Amino acid sequence: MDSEEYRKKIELDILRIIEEKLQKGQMDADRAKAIARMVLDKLHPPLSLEYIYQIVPTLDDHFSELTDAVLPVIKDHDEELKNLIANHAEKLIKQGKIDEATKVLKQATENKSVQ
Amino acid sequence: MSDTAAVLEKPRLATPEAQKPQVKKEAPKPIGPKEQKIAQKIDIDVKAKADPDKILQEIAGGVLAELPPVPEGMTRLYRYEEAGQKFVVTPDNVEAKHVNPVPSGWALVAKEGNGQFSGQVVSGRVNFDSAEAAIASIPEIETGRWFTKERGTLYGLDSATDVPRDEFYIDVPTPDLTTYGHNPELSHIPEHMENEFLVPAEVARGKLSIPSSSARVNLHAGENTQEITETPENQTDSFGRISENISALVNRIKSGEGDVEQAKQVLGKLLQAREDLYRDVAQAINPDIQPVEEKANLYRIAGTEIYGSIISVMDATPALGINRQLAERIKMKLPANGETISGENLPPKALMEASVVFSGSSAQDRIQHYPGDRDMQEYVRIQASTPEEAASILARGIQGSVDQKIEIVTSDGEKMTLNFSEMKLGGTYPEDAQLPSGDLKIRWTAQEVKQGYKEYKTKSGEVKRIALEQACLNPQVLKVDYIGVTEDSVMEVTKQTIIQNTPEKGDDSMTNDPGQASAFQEVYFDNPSTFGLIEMTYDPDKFVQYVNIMAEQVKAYSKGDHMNGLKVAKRLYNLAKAEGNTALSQEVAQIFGTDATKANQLVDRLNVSMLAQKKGIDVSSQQTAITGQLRELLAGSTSPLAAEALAILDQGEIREDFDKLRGISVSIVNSEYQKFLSEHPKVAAKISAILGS
Repeated sequence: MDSEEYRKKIELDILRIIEEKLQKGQMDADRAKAIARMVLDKLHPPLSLEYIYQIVPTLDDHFSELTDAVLPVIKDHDEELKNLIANHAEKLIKQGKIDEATKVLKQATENKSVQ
Repeated sequence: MSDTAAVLEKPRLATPEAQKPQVKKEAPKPIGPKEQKIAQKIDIDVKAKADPDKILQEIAGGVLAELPPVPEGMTRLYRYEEAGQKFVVTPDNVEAKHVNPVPSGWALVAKEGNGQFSGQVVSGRVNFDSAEAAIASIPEIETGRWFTKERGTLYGLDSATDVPRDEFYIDVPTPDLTTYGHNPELSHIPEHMENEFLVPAEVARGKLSIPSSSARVNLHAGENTQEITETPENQTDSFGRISENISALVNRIKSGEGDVEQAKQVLGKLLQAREDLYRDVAQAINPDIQPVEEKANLYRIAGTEIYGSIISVMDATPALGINRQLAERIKMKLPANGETISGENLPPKALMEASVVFSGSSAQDRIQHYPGDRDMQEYVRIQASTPEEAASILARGIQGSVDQKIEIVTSDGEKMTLNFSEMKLGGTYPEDAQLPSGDLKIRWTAQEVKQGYKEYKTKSGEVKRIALEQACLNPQVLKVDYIGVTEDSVMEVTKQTIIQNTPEKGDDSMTNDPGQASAFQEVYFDNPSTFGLIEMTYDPDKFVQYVNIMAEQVKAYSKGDHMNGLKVAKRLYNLAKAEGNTALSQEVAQIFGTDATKANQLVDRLNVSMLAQKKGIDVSSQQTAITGQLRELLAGSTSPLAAEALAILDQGEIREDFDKLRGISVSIVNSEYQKFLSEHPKVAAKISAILGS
């Protein structure tokens, strides 16, 4: 999935949330409008995957209803980073750079724990 | 940067699920009709696989969804996302090219391997000696370096490269510096459309030389992303949107549909909102335009004392300044010894103030290469208690400006002699006047003006007088015609005087201001604010009046015996400009540079030369020069009518057949105009729309 497809998928997830909340009376039209404007502002194309991963976790900062749309993106990003770091560490180990591989893994873990 | 470093540069791992804020559980409420409508719409659209951006836009209030198309030949540049340090431009993005400068910053765009364009921004401004030099710097950015800037020099982190400066800048407008980017509380741009502006694609692509204070055209968007020219025509912009809404409102007002007063109010606001956008467009077309500080609707041509509204200065160039002496010389003036009014001795300037301005095609030298007459308007304000006092002051002002011959040397060294032709003033002759020509209008010679009266015979043979002061009590038409003679040409120079104010006592019979919207096509040689002449181009009544007049004149000159393609084009040009359709106006302007237009001008001047001869002015050498130029043009023409016109010129004495020659000239112009319409379908469509309205 390229970044544009991914961006639209996130928007669709958000639309489904809005629809559901509206149907259940848990959201009013003004809030739906505010969310739509915020999403359009923040997810205005074109966006790289990297940018999507940076920006999507902030979508529910002010609109907690959107957490259900945000979490899958965070998961995807975590997964991608894990793979990236693991692959890189594996490559370093194969090259015999054990110390550097350890450093990479350690630093990644520290970064995660800081947050 | 090593691979390891690159990996570690990646964003940190995201917040764990457990730490994310939890959705607050809310008790269900009855669903309202608005909410139901939105929910249903989302359901239907999602199932129909509609674009989620579009659905969101509709929910958001349609702000983005309602944008109209960008006119042909224009492109849209705008910032679009947070004041981050990076932006991306995608060539095939249907939203057009995005430029995302940071406040006080500049941006460069580079093409990346994946087909996207990306770039970085830094604070400050960089001057390059050419577009090529700016573009050549882009690969440096692709390596990931950041630049800092010092005047005249572009520095990389690793090495400094001297770049000559001064020919043009890369500069980024930062109108919302206080609210955008520098305010950490703002997480996103309040309005996407806030910083949009349109520039003609051709201008944006070309080499730019725009003063930094007004630079709204981003080189990187125009110059290095050649794809801008491929921008689909259905792209949208706020300038176009506003202009379309303006046209729609004008139509509603004209038809009297709905609440006209409310429509006028909205129209006024839209015209005002358009002003800034219009400035960007106009500056891109005519880079000499500068705003006049603290005057919202006043602009000038850089380095000159040429002023006007944004719409009028768009077509003025510094060369227009050569007419300043002409305007100054024929301006009304009083003797230097002042006057006693209401017991007070006042200097001449306190009694009468006058300002002469250029109007019509005379004020459009950027596009009108072959203007007809030199048309001027004179605005006069008189300090008087009664109409009689005002008439007396006006009469002396006229006498102070009129002479049989006036010699002028323009600032470019050209000599021109103005020969007084006639002055119209005072309405019509009394009923008992004996008028051999049947013309009732009172016309004055220079001699009559100087002596302060003119004589006429009554039907019973009695000689009576009309005093100039008496005529000045009825100045509904006050127009002076001159024949201007230069070394190689002859032209009509006209000045129409508008008296703006009324005496302190008395009715408004002394004013003759028709109240027409003049700010759209007048160029001033003095700062008009000092003369109370700033007329807003966003006055809704004047705007409606102006576009009505232009449209009616397009109709009038498109019919029967009055058909004149050049006059139609001139009115259409002005109309399109007023409506904000600058792309169309620039397309129409092409016809003003054709040989047919030039031939038409020469025939007009030949006519004036014959009038000059009638009045005993020797213009034989000028007439020979004009005829020679006309003959040369016609000889090169493929039009069958050209041979007919040449035959008339070859007769030697053309006076008798002049009407025929003029008819042929108009026919050639009309033929050129029809050809132009067939080659420019958008212009033809606009004409058809006007004629059908």
